[in-house]
Amino acid sequence: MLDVKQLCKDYSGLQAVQGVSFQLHPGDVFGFIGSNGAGKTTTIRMLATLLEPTSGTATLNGADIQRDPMEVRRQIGYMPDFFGLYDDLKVWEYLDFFAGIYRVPPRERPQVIDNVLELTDLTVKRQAYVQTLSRGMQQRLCLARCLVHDPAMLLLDEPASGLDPRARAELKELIAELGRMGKIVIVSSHILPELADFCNTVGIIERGELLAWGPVDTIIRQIQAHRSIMIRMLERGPEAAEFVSRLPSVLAVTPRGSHEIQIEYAGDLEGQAEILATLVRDGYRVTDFREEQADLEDVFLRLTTGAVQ
Amino acid sequence: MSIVAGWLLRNKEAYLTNASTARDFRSQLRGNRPLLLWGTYLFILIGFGTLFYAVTSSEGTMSVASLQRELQGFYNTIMNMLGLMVVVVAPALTATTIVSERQKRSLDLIFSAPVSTKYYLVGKMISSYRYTWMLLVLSLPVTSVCVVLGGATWTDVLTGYANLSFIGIILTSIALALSTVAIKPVSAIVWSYFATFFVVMFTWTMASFLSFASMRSGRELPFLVSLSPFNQLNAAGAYTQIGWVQIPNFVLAGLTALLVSRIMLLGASSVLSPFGALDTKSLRVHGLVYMFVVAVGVGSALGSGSTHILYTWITFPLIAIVPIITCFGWDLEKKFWPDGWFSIRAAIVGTPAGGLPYLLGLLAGAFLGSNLGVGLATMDVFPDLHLQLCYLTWALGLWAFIWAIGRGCSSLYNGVKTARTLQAVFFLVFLTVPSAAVSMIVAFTSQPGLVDPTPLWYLMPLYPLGLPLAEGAPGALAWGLLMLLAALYIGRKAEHRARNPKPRGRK
Repeated sequence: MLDVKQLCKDYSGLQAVQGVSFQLHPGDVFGFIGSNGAGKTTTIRMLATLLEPTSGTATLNGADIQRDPMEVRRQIGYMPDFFGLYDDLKVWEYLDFFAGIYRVPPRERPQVIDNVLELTDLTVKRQAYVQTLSRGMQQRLCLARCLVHDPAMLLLDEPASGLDPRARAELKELIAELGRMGKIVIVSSHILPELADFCNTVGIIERGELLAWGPVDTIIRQIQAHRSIMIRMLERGPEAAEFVSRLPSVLAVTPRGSHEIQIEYAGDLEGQAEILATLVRDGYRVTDFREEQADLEDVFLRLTTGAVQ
Repeated sequence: MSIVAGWLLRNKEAYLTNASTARDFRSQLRGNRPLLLWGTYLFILIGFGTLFYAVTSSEGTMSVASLQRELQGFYNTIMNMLGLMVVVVAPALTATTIVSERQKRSLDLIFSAPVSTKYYLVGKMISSYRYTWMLLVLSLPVTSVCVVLGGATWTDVLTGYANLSFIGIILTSIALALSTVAIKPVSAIVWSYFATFFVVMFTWTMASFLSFASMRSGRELPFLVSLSPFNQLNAAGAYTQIGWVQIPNFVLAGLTALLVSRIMLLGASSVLSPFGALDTKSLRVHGLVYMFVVAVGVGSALGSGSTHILYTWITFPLIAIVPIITCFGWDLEKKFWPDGWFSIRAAIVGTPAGGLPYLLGLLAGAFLGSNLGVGLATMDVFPDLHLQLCYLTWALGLWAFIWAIGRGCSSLYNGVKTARTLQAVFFLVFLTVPSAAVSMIVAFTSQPGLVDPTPLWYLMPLYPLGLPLAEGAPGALAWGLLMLLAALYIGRKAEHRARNPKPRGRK
């Protein structure tokens, strides 16, 4: 379990991270959302023991990032937003080097390398030189490197940046699979649709402050207390708007052009069905009636102001 | 696991099964490049040997003594060529190792793994040094010809190779340390060659000077001769007499190489580690101990009554590290923060508040060490203590003043590099240039009394030839106190400014 408490990073007056706190459990895939310069990378680098926090703590399965960094490093796989590859090595040599760095016993290394290559679908590139790999393959090799020591937690900083749609889809599937394997995965990104697909938990950070964190559904519910319903009429839009505003539990009605109306509704699903039935019964010709679900983008835009530091 | 077993395991991992060494080995020996390089190298060496043989045999009859001289000359040339090879190759192979990793941004990947900086740096050093050493070993067949023909003995050859190996270790470790500091590979290479030039000139000059000054009998020579890459003919079989024991110079050279490489590795490790890391603490403690030991060595070697100048001169090269330990800034990711002006604990931890106490510690080490050295040589401990204290006050004032300049520069600018550069420039203008001028005046004046150094009185303790010890003491004391007062004023102002910085705008 990862327990982050009041993590702060201060660059002499410039607060890069301010009191970030969250907990994650095995199997959690945590999407760390924020604009460029919001403090995502700084937080991840602190968790990777590469940066010393100014204050606050973080423990991974009982090991503190400041008091016991070596134990934390044994349990993490860190993939920064750059590759840092050695072009003059072959793929297996690159992985063998990191297996050595992570003290994987020499006898076990060939098997470990085969396993991570299979997981990342790079088996056919075992003997290829790193510099000959495509960007997507290099990204997967970086991920394979993070896995040679079977870490409990993966820190992936902007893993999909610069990848083509296919490579991005493959990477998303791979990350989801790692979550299913019981690893804690922290993925930072500012591309929201990418995270919404496979993260079960998200955190939104701005100017170093964690504005919200938790399961995706919970966060959406937090920002969207009432249902938002969109109704499209064939005709008589303004009249329908007037009619709907008098119905119970309807909080607000906003006409959208001459045919569409948006209503804020505090009732339940039965009441929602009753609105549709009433409209039809009273002769309004409805062509579309749907509840509008907020997504991560809405949440992000509503919570943040776009300011960076 | 016991402490000893843990230590052994860590060292086994670092020196014998280092993953970094294995990786570099793979890339270094891949393809035809090494074969081509070594082939060319051997071709030059063998070609030179064959040429020598052809020239010598063409002379026809030759006396045994002449032939012996020729063969010795051949051996000397071969060893000088090897010395040149070490001097050229060792920095070239090492200087870019860390800086290129930094450019590739692969250091983060390594240091997010459970490896110590020592493990990584030792691996890098072995990788670089191994190549130099292989080139040395490859030349063994050529030098062995000298033994077969009679130009040198096996002892000469093996001692020479040991010494060149030690020189290689020193140069490799210095280049490695500079590689951690440099931002670009080109600057790392330039600085490494500059440092190599300095080491070669220093060992060569000191070896020549000390050999001439000692004028001892037999093969007793200062061990620095062994560390001079172009002096291996003289270094063969040389020893140093310590008490009743004759210690072969290559042993002392090896010991020196290990100590230098250790402090260089600690320095490199300290650069790569966060503040307060064990490596930094160890580096600082090593610095204090080395200063004391060097002072004892110099004091006992000179054994004169000029103890008052020893600690001023011994501490003079400190300027190379003073900007690093006294300046701070906000432009780096590491914490260079104004954490007070004087903290003894910080002197070992390595934060800016430790700058002044650490400088004073080094000065105290030089003072005590040089007195102990002189005491060992003359059986007179702390000679003329009251006069010495006057000169010690001057030294304290000088270093405190330079520290205060560093603090002042740090408080004026956000960038640590700007502060360091300014402090170094100040040092050059305030000390080095006037020193050179006074030195020339003193050296070329037959009657020291004719020199009027009034405008440069603050430098007089560095030039005792110009003034007798007792006469110079009041001036040293006065200037010492004046510089101390100035240091306190500037330091206090700088501290106030650093604690109340102008607000920095958000970007």
